[in-house]
Amino acid sequence: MREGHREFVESWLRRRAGTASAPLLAADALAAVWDRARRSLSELALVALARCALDAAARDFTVLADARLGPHGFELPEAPAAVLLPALGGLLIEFLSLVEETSGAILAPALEAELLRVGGGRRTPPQGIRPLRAE
Amino acid sequence: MKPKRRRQLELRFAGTVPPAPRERRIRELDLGYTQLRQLHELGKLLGSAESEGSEAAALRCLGRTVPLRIAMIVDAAGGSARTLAARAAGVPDAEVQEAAAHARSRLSRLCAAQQLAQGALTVDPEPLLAAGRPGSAGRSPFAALPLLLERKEVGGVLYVRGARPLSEADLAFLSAAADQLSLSRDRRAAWQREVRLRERAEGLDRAQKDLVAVVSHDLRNPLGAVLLGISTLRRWPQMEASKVGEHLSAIQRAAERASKLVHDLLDVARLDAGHFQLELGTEDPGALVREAADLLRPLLAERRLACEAQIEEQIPRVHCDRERVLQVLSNLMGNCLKFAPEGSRLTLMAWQEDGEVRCCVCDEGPGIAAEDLPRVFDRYFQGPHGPTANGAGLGLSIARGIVEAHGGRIWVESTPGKGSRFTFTLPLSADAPLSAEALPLP
Repeated sequence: MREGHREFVESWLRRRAGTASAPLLAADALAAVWDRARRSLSELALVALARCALDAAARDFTVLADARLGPHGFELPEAPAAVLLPALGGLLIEFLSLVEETSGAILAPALEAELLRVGGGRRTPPQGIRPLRAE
Repeated sequence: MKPKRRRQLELRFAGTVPPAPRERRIRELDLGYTQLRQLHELGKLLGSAESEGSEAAALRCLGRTVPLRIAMIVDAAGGSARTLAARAAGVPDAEVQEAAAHARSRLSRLCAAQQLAQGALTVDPEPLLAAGRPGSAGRSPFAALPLLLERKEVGGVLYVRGARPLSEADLAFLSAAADQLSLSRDRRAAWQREVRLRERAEGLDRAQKDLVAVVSHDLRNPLGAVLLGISTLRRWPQMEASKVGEHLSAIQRAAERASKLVHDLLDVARLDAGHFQLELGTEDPGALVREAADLLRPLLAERRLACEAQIEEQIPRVHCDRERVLQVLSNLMGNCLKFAPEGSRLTLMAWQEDGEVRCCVCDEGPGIAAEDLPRVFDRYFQGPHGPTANGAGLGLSIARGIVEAHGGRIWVESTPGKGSRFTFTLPLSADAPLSAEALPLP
């Protein structure tokens, strides 16, 4: 279960890492997952799961020790892409694993599908635009 | 990308054009009318009942909306998981236990705790109402929703197994139901805190009134005696030396009585406030008992009371505060002294029993009526003989406080007309047993 999510997130990160700045990608991905989860989980349940995932991921990624849970979801601190992207991956793996461990296959596949839409050019960026690759 | 579009985006990225408002998809939980109505029912159910029985009813309520085989609430309590379960008709015990273990592991994950041990498992005798056709056992999907304490930490889970694969709509409903449960628990906890605070406030109010009564009565008397004695000595400066000595002795006795009362009141205040400090050490209980008897020897002689100490041989040492245990013995003996008839016998005993040391003070006084026995250790309790000049009814209360501060117990047994027997326990020290012999006191 966990390995499946790890493979998915790592693959997603490999494909999306260059499409946007790391902070933008992180904010977009976490917002997408959060908003999708809100459709099926109450505020209390979602915050509890998110806090648990954040605590677990922070054990492996120290940058997450400064992350917070706000009313709109995860708020990651500023950090270089080399630090932020692995932490983002770790947090997503923890969150997806936790969602699956607590609700089976009801919600986790939908969250993964939502994640696939992030950074693929079909979502409007939350603020500004993504840096463009040389064509 | 077309150059024009690209230029537009670059301008926006550079901050020359205000960013587009962030797309937000704030949506409510996807709940249907039936689910909302059932949540309303659930809220009424949990809001109206104060007992935990309402949670079993809440589990049954869930079964009316989502076809469930099993629904349970699992709470983490002191390293173990307490489970309240409800099941549909025909679900075997083994499946309930297996589900409880699964729920426990989910709770451990959410609490970030080590594996919780299986605690009490209570199964509601009333079956879940099946809202749909039950599925086959062992393939049911599940959901474990966190139950929060004070909206912060996870204290339990609402765990369900569906009679058919659960949908997202089911999950949304169950999630909202879990919130209702969490909030109802918070309300109940707040109510219980309120009740405790009110009881404490009432207790403090009573204690204050009692204190005023003690100070106005028991402290005023000895102070009055002191003032009267001094006034007499000043009025008759030529008084005979022997008479002066008598007055001074009376003044001293009254001052000592007032001093003891003040000390007792301070002890009571410390016990109430939880600031009672013990200086724990390893002590020989036999030596403590003999010393207590020695301290009261003048009073015993005055009342012509015989006193005997019976101490078990090889009695082990105890872990206690020496001065405070002497105070307990002194208070118990002082109480017996008030009521023991002249020429009777006071017996002190110490022995080991059930992994602790027991000390006992026995008298041959009039005894205590059965209806008074439960109140003997209450603060300010006075026996049927009424308030005496020598006490405010604090000695036995303080003795109990000291013994309990040691982790021990104190109790009294009495037969009217034959005397009373006060016993208290002290915890053993890790040291080796110490020999002692029965030493009859003069």
